[in-house]
Order: sequence, then structure tokens, then C-alpha cells
Amino acid sequence: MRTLLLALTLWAGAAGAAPLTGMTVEPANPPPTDEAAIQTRSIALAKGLRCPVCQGLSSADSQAESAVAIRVRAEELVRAGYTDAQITDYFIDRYGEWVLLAPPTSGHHLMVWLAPGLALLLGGGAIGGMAWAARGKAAPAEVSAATSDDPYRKRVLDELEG
Amino acid sequence: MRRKLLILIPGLVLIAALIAVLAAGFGHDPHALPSMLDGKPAPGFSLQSLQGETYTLSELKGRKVLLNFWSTWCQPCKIEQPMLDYYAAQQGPDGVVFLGVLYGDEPEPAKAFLRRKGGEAYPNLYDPTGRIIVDYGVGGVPETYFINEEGVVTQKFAGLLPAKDLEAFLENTP
Repeated sequence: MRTLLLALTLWAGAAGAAPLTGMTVEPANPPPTDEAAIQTRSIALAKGLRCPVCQGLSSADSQAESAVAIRVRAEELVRAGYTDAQITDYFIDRYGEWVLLAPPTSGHHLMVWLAPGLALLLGGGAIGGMAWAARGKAAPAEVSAATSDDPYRKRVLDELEG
Repeated sequence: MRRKLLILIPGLVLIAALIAVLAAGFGHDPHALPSMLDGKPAPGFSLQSLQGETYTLSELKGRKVLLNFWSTWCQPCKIEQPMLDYYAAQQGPDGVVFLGVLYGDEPEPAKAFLRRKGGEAYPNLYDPTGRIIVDYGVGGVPETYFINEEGVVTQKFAGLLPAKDLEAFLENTP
């Protein structure tokens, strides 16, 4: 009985490792069995993949033919045991990095993520620097009627004070 | 003066960088899908034609293959089909293999459309799973792929296939 179980396990393992049609790499994991987890992962992957014929829609949110095909293929690959990274690479190999709705956090794409923070830092720094520079300057001294040399100003101040 | 330059120079650099990014962005169509398969082995398939015959890409090795994704609801596809029909009819027994692939369409309307236009000049394949669409990275129709004798994709055309490119592909083929 144990020998039979071992043989079955090895067979299942071997079946899980075979590359799926159209794939050049073997799945890194054995096929998952938790149906809810398969659905969650498939939807999450499709949400990160751009619909090829839509305007800013993910493949999970579109009924276009190619978006549906991407959803179906993503689920098929999840079921076969491919990891999220393997599946994402497969789609990048077909459609390019364009297919990713969010730019990758590596290479020159990193600039897209860092630029807003850098701009905020630079802007904040510039404003802070200007405020710091202005702080040292003395405020203009108040001119009292008694010290003013201007006769017109003196007269106005006298009038105001009654 | 020095303080003003300290603000002005980074500001100008920032504006120049922004203009460079925008100029690069305006230079290309954001909806154009990059051609990722050029120079790579064509993804394999084994599909049935509308006439029920099975076509397997690996079995066509040694011959050039033209793969044209189309649908009955696509107007540009209808415009380029007479050209494909014309050149497909000129191919000898070892000539380029023309294969149509249905995209977002069903066999029955496709068969009716092909009957209306006088029959099929070359086989048309149907993939009920849609896998071939993703394997080739098809965005919309028409899309055409040139595959050489070694089974490598040499060119991809999104939209109408230019006649001069088709003629160049067919050149030196029996």
C-alpha cells in the first residue's frame, strides 16, 4: 500500500512538473488544490495585467476577447502550479512590460516610483531653504511719529492720535 | 545672485527632464503592442480547421507559415483577405502555408462569411480556449505573423498587412 502511495505521489509530482503547452519552463510548485486560493490568485494576477484592447482597464475588468483569454490562461497556469512570478514573466514575454498595469519596481522603472517622493523632497527643501534664508533678515523698524523726519507723515500721525 | 542660480539651475534641469519624457511619450502610439516574438520560436499549436482537419505547427517545420488572426466583425480583416486569398492561391505544394485563426468569433458565422465570399483559399483554425491568442500576444485583429522554415517568428504586423512586406516574405519560396 505504501509503495502504491509513493508511486502515486511521484507520478503526481512528475505530472505537475511537466511544462504546460506553450510554456518553456516547468511549474515551480505542484498543482494547488485549494479552489478558493486558485480563484483569488487568478483574479489578483488578472487585475495586474492590462487588457490589450482597452483604455486603462485590467484584464479582470474587461469582457474583450483578449482580456478573457488572458484571464483564462492566468487561471490555467495557476492551476498547473506556476508561481505568480513565472506567470507574470510569461505574459511579459508575450506582450512586453506594457502588459503590467503597475510599472515594475526595478531598473529604470524605479524612477516612476521614486520621482514623486523626490519632487516632494526637492520642493520642500527649496521652500524650507527660502524660509530659512528669510528668517535671518531683520524686519523693517517701526517708524514712530516722534522719530520721523517726514513732515507730512508726522502731520498724519498727529491727526490720527488726535 | 548665487542663490537665484541655485534655484534656477535645478528647476531648468527638472523642466528639461520633463520635456524629454513627454517628447519620448508623444513619439509613440501608447496603444501599440510591442512585438515580443520577433526572432523567437513561434509558440506551438495543434488546432482544428473549420473543415475539421488538424494543423500542428511543429509538423510544418521546413516551410514558411503565415498566421493571420481575423474575425468576421473586423472590417480591416475583410479588406486584407482578398490579398491573402490571391497570394495563397499562388503557392505551390512547398510554398508558404497560409493559416487563418479566428479571433473572438465562432465557426458558424465564419463559415457563413467564407461561403458568401466564395470559399476558403486557405485553412482557418479555431481555438475554443483562446490560448493561441495569449501565446502569440495578440491584441486585436487583424494581426499577422511571419514564421520562417525553422519555426521562428520573423515579423509581426498589427493592422493591415502591407502588400510589399507580404511579397518580400513570399520571395524565394517555391
